[in-house]
Amino acid sequence: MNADMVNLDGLMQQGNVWRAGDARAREQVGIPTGFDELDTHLPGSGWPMGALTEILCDRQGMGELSLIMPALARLSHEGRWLAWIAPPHIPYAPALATHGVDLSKVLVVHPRAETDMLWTIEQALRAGTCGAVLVWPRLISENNLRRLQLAAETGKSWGILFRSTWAATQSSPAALRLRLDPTQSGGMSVRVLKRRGGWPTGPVYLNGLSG
Amino acid sequence: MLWMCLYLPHLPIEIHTRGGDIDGPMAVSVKEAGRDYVGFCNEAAGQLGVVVGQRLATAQALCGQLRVKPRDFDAECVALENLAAWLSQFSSFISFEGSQTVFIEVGGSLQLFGGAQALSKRVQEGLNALGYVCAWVVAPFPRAAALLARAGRSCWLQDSRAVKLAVGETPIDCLELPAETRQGLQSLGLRCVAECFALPISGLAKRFGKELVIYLDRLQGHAAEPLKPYSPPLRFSSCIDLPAATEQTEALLFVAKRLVIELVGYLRGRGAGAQRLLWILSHEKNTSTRFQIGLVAPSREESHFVELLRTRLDRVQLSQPVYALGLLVEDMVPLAASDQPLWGKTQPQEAWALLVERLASRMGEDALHGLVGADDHRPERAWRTAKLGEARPKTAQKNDDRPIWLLDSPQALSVSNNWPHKNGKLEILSGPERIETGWWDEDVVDRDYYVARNESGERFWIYRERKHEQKWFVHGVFA
Repeated sequence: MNADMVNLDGLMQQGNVWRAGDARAREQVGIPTGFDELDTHLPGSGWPMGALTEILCDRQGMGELSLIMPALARLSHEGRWLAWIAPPHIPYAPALATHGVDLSKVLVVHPRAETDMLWTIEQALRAGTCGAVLVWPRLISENNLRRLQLAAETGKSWGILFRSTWAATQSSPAALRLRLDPTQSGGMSVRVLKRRGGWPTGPVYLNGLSG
Repeated sequence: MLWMCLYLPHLPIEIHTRGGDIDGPMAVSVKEAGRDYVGFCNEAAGQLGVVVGQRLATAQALCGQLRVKPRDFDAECVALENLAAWLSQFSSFISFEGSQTVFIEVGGSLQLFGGAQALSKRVQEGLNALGYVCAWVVAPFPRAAALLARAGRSCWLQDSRAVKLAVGETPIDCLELPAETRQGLQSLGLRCVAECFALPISGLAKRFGKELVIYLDRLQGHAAEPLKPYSPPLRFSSCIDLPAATEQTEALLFVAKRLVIELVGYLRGRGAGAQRLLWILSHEKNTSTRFQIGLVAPSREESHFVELLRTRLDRVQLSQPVYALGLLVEDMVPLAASDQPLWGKTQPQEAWALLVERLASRMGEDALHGLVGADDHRPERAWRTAKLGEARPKTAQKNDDRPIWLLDSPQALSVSNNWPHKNGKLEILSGPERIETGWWDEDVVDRDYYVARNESGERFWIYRERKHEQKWFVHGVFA
């Protein structure tokens, strides 16, 4: 009606409205991140399964992948596959092995055309056999994000989208949104922009993520 | 022994209509004494006044758009052989006669398939799905079954008394005998076969020859009927012509479904599963497009095969219209029947196989790969792409500091004041790690590696060439 009216949907997206009937958030159990201080800020004390996680950062080489390595290693040893969809560089096998990932559960997919990209991500999330699906989307619309969120719910998989920080202004159905920034001491600060059943929180300072 | 005889009265025209509905009248012509006659025609033609036995010229005059194809006996035999391969899932003894009759020994299979009625229903439904119409007769004697099936009756005769009764009612004209013999019998005043049975054998033999007597004996089961057994070929190959050249996926899938039904019947007969299917789409001028579709595990599920083809067809742009679709399966693997449904509660293994097949089907097998580490000090060779799941867990983990990202190829760094820069001045955090190796295959690597970080907090794996101008390169990112 009037531009000043608050957009309820927008508020819900950002997790600024707590719904009394929403028992889901309480029952959630997440995969421990491997960083205790970060776990305390996350609902379910870990990464949300059956949902999308967005990791927003502007630089490579901060430790953005090292952040999820412990969880990836754990999933691979539980027998679930790790799907890397069109990674920007080569996932280096010796490094993955050092981080504890079971290489026999790694799948790397290179979709040929843009039209295949979304389809591939959706299939991998929905199949249920992939514990984690890592994606580096260029531009993705909210509708498509919703589709992927639904696919992750169906397959009970963990979708991880690496995007740049300008995406923070776009609303998203992802269950968890983190923003990473470098610190002076050479570590990383993690701000939780959105989480289920809670306000944004952080920053958590992590050092020594050598990646 | 119990025999089922299947007679396909319209096979000569069905081999052309199997590929899809032909709207419009169609006829198959046969040559007799140098002239063309209508041998078979479809419903649409019948409605316009075309009748079997007419002179072709008359038929074409009655119906201007009549599509005519000459009778192709060889194609009919090939189709019948493929049908026999499909039937091999019901019995181990199959024989065919001419191009329209098939015998199946069903005595041993009745229990498994739930009785003669259930079995014949299944066979008939299967044939309909393949695009054929048939008359079926189950009887203790194959010759009697053939006679009744050709006469157009579908029934199950349980003993020789029932056979004699049923056969007895058949008119002389239906007998599979030369025309003179039939005319001779009719000139004696005989109208039906029962009257022939009543006549003395010696008289018949003298008048019409031994062949008639042997035939009548076979009808009643007094003499054995030698049938040549059919053995299914070692590989499956079948092809269906489309009624009109098309590029539409739905039309192709309609035909593909029929081919897949034939394949599955054949596989069931052999107790095997297929793992590689080669689809051949024929275009004009003898060109063809071929798709190889591979499965992670051998299967004989119809819906599975069709879904994989659909995924591939959705992806591919056909450059030319398709005239015929063929399917070739050469290697088969023994497969026991599994009692788990494919859809519904899928096991993790199956879910994985399905995902991989779907992805590979749409984008090609080389769009997916796994990773494995290799024993080489040269970083670009310390890893390689691998088959999915190939990697084995290493007992000793190397604890060297290695970056999660390796660049596709090392990138030269800009240097200012003899110091490397990448998005800002780089600060060395650790190193050098000297990697000097590769003398045996002339891919010599002689580098000093460092971990470096710039002002924005990005951490890179860089190296300096020790010889050759001592250039700086970035090789990896510590993500």
